[in-house]
Amino acid sequence: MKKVISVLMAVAMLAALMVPAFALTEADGNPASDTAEVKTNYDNLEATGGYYTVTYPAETTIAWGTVDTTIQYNVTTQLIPTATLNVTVKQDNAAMASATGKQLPYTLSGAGTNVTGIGPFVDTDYELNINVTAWGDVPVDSYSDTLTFEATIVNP
Amino acid sequence: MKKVISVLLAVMMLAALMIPAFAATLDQTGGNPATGGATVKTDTSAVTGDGAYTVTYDAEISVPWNSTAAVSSNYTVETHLKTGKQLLVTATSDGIMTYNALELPYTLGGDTAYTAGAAETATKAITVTVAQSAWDEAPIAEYTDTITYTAEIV
Repeated sequence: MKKVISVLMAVAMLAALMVPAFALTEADGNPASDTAEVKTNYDNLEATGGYYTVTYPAETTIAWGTVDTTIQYNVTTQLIPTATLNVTVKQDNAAMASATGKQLPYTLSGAGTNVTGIGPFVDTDYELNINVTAWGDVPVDSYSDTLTFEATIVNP
Repeated sequence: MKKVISVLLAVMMLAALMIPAFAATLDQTGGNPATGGATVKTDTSAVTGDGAYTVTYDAEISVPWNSTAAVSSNYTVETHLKTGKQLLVTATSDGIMTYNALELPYTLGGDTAYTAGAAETATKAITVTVAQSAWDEAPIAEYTDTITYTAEIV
């Protein structure tokens, strides 16, 4: 019985792999013609959801004393139809720091800090705003911090 | 009377069974050994038209998204035609897969035309190739097109 079941399963598995075939013969006229279908499949993308690129400035320089600085980043997507992309941008610390440990607070805001539901085929720019008001509270020096960009494909 | 009728019937049945043939003979006057030839030949009177053929091809060719490699699909040609006849097989398409109003161009290549002889079995292959630039311009979806196979006895 086990042998019979294993043979039947092997046949079923082979049948699942087989591509259906059509045939033309002399009985179909002269000339005879029929069609086959060529189509794309994105089975290979089901697990990952597709492709995207987030392009952002590697470094933003703020002139001493500038209160508001706007920067942009670009998002392009090529996702499977059921997927979307979320992008967040966060400041690693509440303040930029100098080599001597001095702190220059700043805030990050704008629509680009938290974007959800970016569609499957877009090419869009998003804005961030960096606000610094405490210039007078710190020595003139080089201060820096890191903005962390994070992109997540949501693929239900 | 009954005997006459039965004899006549027997003669008629024998006549119906007899296959007319031209007979050749050998005898001692033909040498020692004596030899003679009998012809054996084919009869094509029952063969209709110019013969028979079968062209078998895949019903579907599936192209993985973002693949720039040529996707190959075989077709098999088997001919049993009358002498002097050939079978011309072609595969054609408009080179554009579509999804609603969106288009994805591709190149159909390989053995898009093949001429088979009167008695031949051959396996040929067509290819479908999508360029990277075409993939990049297309939203991900299931695009389709048809490839038309035509077979003509010439």
